[in-house]
Amino acid sequence: MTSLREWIVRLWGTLRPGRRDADLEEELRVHLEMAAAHEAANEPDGRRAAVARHGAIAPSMEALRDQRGLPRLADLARDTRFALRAMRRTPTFTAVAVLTLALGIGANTAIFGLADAVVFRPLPVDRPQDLVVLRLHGPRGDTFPFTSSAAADLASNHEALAGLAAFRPLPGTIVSVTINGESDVALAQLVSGNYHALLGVHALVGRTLSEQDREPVAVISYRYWQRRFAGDPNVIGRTLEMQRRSFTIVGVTPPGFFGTQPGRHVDITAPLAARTQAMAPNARWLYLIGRLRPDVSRQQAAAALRVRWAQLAAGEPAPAIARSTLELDSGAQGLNELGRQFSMPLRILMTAMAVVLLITCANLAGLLIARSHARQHEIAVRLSLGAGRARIVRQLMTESVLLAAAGGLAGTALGRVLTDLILAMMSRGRTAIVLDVALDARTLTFAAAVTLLTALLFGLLPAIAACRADLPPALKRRAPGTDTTRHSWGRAMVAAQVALLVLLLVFAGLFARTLHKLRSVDAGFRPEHVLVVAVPTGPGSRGTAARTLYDDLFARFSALPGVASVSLSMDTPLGGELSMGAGISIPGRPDDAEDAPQVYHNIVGPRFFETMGIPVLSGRDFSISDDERAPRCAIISDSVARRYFRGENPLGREISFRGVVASVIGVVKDVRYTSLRTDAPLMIYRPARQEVSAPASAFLIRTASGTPEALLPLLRAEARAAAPALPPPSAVMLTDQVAGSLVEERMLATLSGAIGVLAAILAAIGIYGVIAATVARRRREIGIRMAIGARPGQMARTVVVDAFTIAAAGLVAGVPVTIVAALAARRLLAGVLFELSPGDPPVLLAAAGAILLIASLAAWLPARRASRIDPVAALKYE
Amino acid sequence: MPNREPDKADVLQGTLDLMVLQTVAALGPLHGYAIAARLEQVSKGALRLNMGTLYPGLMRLEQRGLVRAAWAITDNNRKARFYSITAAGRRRLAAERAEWERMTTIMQTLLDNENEG
Repeated sequence: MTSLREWIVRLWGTLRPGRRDADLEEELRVHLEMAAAHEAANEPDGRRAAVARHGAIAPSMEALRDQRGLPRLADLARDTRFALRAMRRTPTFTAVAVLTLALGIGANTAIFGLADAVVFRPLPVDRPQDLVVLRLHGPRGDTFPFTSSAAADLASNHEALAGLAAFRPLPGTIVSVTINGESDVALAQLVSGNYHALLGVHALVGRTLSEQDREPVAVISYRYWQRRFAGDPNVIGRTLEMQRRSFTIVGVTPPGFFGTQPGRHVDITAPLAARTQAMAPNARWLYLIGRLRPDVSRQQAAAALRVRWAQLAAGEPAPAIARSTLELDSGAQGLNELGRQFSMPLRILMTAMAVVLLITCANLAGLLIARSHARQHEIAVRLSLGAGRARIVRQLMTESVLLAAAGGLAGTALGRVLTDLILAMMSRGRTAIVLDVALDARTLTFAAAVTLLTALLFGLLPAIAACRADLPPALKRRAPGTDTTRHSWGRAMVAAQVALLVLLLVFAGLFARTLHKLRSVDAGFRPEHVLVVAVPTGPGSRGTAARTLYDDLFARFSALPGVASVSLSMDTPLGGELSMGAGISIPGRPDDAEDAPQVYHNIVGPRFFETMGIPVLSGRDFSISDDERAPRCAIISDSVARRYFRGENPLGREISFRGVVASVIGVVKDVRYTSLRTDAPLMIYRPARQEVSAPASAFLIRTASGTPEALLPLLRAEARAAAPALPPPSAVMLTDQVAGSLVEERMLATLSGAIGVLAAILAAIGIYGVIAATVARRRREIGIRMAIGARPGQMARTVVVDAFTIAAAGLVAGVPVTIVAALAARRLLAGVLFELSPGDPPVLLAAAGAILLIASLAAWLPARRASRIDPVAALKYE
Repeated sequence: MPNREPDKADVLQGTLDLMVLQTVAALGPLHGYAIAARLEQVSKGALRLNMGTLYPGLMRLEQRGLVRAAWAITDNNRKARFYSITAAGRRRLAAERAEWERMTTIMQTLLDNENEG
């Protein structure tokens, strides 16, 4: 304990010296006087003998001062003050350095924060690592939800899992909610009674849902409570109206809990048992999340459940479902479709950002090395006076750490802005992504770690290099320009930056070209001027009520001004969903073998192909007269015609599909329905009127010219007139929907392009710095050359060639780096690139050309300055 | 800081602490020169303390609360800073003495055994 007391006293002593220097000195002087008096008995000069025996005042004072405070701390304080002064003395350098660091660290933090929220961070629930998500994987790689009966069956198996809960975001995702007469939209989901208990979520106010809940009760999220109820503590017992039903609020969940799907913040949670419309027994609509038992591993639980599913699947009519397998994926992030989608682009971007950070460090290291040249004299003096090299390195490192800290602070603030921008980019063409990307401990720790690492990377080398210089030459103030080692370090730094830049530019070029190629793909339809309007009819609403509504809206929409054609469609291209059916068989022909290709189908309204701009290759489009009284007809896609009717004319032939026999009345061009990357699926189209039940469909409205968006208010008015009880329809331009299917590619191309530009600017600054310093250093030499007859143009050319040399060195070094990176990431790239090889020549040439351009731009100003050197003035410069 | 294993410098300092505490406890308040003179005398000239060693050591003891100091007048009408032991210092001295004697006994036994073996 006494040593703790000592430490505290000494800590205080660094701020405020306990005993003053004068006091200490006096004590020492007294000691020496007494000693001198004693020595005087034997020695003539008592004073000198005393000092010889007992020590001099100065070194003793040093020892005392060290004991009085904490020397390490005092050194640190002094270093910091010194560093701050040095930074203030060179404001431009400091500003540039801090800005560069802010960009590098900020962008890194932004991407990390986003990646963390989307891909890494577990749900804010109890022990998320024990959660699992059940998925059905179909033979073609699709996934399906579960039926109510399957869910109940699997949930009853208590050996495999500790518990299983079901949840379902309400169809249409956004529902209209009325509170005290005011309508607003909110995200809602239905859950099984044990949902909150399984997740381990406890109510902040009131209670969470339980298995006994059969009445229409609801639990709201903290955010919703603040937003719609202003955090009213008496919210329990109030009601909200949703889908024409009144729900009583029984609880509020804690802040941070948003449901089980990252990217969607669920506002209202209600029990499945309280739903009004009964779902058809074979409707697949439930998602399942479970919790592992402590004594059962994920593999064991999966094996047990798979066996049970195989038994359940045997009774499934649809072959795709019957052949699907049950998988247990990690549920630590819940049902993370967002993570699935963006995991790879975000990882790629994180890597690119790390490369930019390396470039930033190389840049700053080069700047610091160049600057240390000016301080060589000062450092040499300190070394010769006895300062340890480690001490000086520590002091120089303090400057680096301070610069990095300033950059880190600015960068973290900048990172927030960048995160919002990237989120907006990710959300285009779909419902907004809601993520909690506020600064949390993880992100801040990351930022701090990155800052320190950066400081070490760019600060250590220059600091050590500064101390290694020979003393005698540095002590004399010589004409600048003799230490070639340091200058080649600076140039090597810049060449390294260029090498890394090559890597970034090549990848950015590849992503940009991929996006361009995808955009140019002929998807088989013309999306311009088409509006996709989703009219929510309520869950599970089928039958005549829905059909009447659709007919009414069809007539109303068609009558609006500027409308060229209107149609209906169950699934729209690149809308994310496509219904499948069993195979096709031709009556009179033997059925296909077991490996019949999967055929997809769409149920569409009249003039569908005209509205969508899909060319009709033979036959005709559906029309109003293709209704329940007319003979059953179907339209097939070109690939179906070629596969099933090789060479023969399919028109008029009969085809059997999903238990229905219809005659082919038209053949249309293939459409890339699911994705622009994959080939068009085999498609068969049926008219909506001839289907037994009208499926939930979207309206497609093509206008003659201009933007159909202008029609939206009119559409809403018509919908309200036709069905006042229903929430307003939502609309999206088909072009936006198509663009939305390319969101990962767009994000990669845009962000990697921005990163490439950032890196290019940094490299340009680096090249400029080195070349400008070279010109300044060699002023005398250039002056001499010009005095003996060299022309200004030649001098300028020399400078530019110098810049090109560095850039070329960087290019050459960058080639193996890029090759290694491309090889390491080749599986990744194979998934991202479209009809492009990583060694695509135009991209490589463009990257090389860009670098040479950057080098020449960076060298322009110094070259001009070199050509303008006045020989007389240069020769006088010392 | 507490609970750290003492390194060599600490051991030497620890020994110095013990010597100073003993001197001051036995002879009452002493100024720095008197302490150094006493230690030199007792060790018959073997222990010659430099000012740069003695005074930081005294400051340390003061910071740890084991001695207290005050300016006073010596017999020769000189102003000097006198150090006296505190209660905590006495406790520490007793503990260090016990430890020292324990170590000495062990060493003695070991060396005797060596001689006999």
